Amino acid sequence: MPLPPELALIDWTLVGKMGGSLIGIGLLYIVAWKMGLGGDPRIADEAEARLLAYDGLYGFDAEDVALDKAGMSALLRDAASRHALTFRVGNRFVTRLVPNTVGARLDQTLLTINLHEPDLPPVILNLGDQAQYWASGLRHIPDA
Amino acid sequence: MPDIIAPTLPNPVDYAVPGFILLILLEMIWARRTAPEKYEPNDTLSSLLFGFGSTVAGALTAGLLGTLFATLYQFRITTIPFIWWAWIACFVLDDLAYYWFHRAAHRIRWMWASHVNHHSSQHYNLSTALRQTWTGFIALSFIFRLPLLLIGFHPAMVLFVGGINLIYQFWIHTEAIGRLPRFIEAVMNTPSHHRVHHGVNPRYLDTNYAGVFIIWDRMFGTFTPELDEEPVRYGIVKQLGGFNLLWSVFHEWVGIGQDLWRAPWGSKLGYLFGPPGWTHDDSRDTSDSIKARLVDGHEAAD
Ligand SMILES: [Zn+2]
Ligand SMILES: [Zn+2]
Repeated sequence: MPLPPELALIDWTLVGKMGGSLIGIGLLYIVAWKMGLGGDPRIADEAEARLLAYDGLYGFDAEDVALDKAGMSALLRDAASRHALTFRVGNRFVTRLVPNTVGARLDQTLLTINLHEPDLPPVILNLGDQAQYWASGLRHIPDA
Repeated sequence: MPDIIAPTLPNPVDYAVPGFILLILLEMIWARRTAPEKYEPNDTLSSLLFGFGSTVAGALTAGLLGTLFATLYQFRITTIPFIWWAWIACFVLDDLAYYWFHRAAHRIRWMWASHVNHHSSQHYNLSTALRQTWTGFIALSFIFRLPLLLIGFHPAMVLFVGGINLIYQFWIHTEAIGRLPRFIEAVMNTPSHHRVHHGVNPRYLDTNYAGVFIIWDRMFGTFTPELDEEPVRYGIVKQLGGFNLLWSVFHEWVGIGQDLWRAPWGSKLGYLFGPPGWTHDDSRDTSDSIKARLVDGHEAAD
């Protein structure tokens, strides 16, 4: 029986191809989860944080480092008082220079830094008793 | 100009898709056994959705592209028939055109805004190969192929060999293969050469633009070998901060818009057509400035 005219307007081969691709994508995503791919990497120590910032910002030379207690992020400062924030995205780390217009909030040991990027939620660092010291440092970032 | 009857050619990429999915699955199994960190589910999903969106965008612009190809073909200098040597010549010349497209895509911000999509993952696995742009048409990615039509290769042949070129490039996006025998590494683009192309290490930036044949990079001075002592770090100079798909797709276009708005009049063109990272006050890094600072004895390639 021929298709009704409205349905004949649709390119069903294309719909089939698109649907098949989406099913394939969904399956691969589920398989990746079920296999436990990705892992749970943490920043092990200050040396690793320095290296991540150096590589990520092409030569950031940290003088001082504060590591998040869980190793999820780190805040670093160089000789010119510039600050770098290293944080985890998926199972990789990203580093940004912190602008002096940054929004930072201190709550006991927790320092929350909002870089105001569209795909990036605020980064929360647990810096223990160093939090206060670094919060004050963020208020004294020199002009770029 | 004599008319020739073109055979009806399928889009080869359609037939390759099930193979892509199967090979990604096999590579995931390999990763689970040897290095689970080489895949990350959200990254994989993002790359695959890039690929899906790219085919949708391609379908939407296919009509325009077909019309453009057919129009230019009318102004060809000769008519090349569908015979065996023409296929080989078309494939090789299309790969040369790909080299120059790809080099321009890394050196001209307008084109980079589209091509950045392929590079914005920090992972390098087979799913990265499917991380394709949604905005290739706007970026004018097709212009380097147009001379083939003017020479006299039929549009159907040009599109077909382009599809084969894309399929070839799938399997080289892997860390599961180390180095291949020397005669292959000398002529062909391989996983090793293309890992370097995806590297953000200063010495690897803006090198190895090849599609299928690495000889173009060797000829035009952009070849860099993979060094065992310098493992490749993947991605882009300013890595993405998350997996938001639409931001990942359009971030560089948004960046161009913001820069154009803020830039002084005399420098607006630089933000459009200068190299990625170019600024009128040198306030950002370009791959050239990074190399000059961090690679010993660097001489700029371009
Ligand atoms: Zn590229
Ligand atoms: Zn690639």
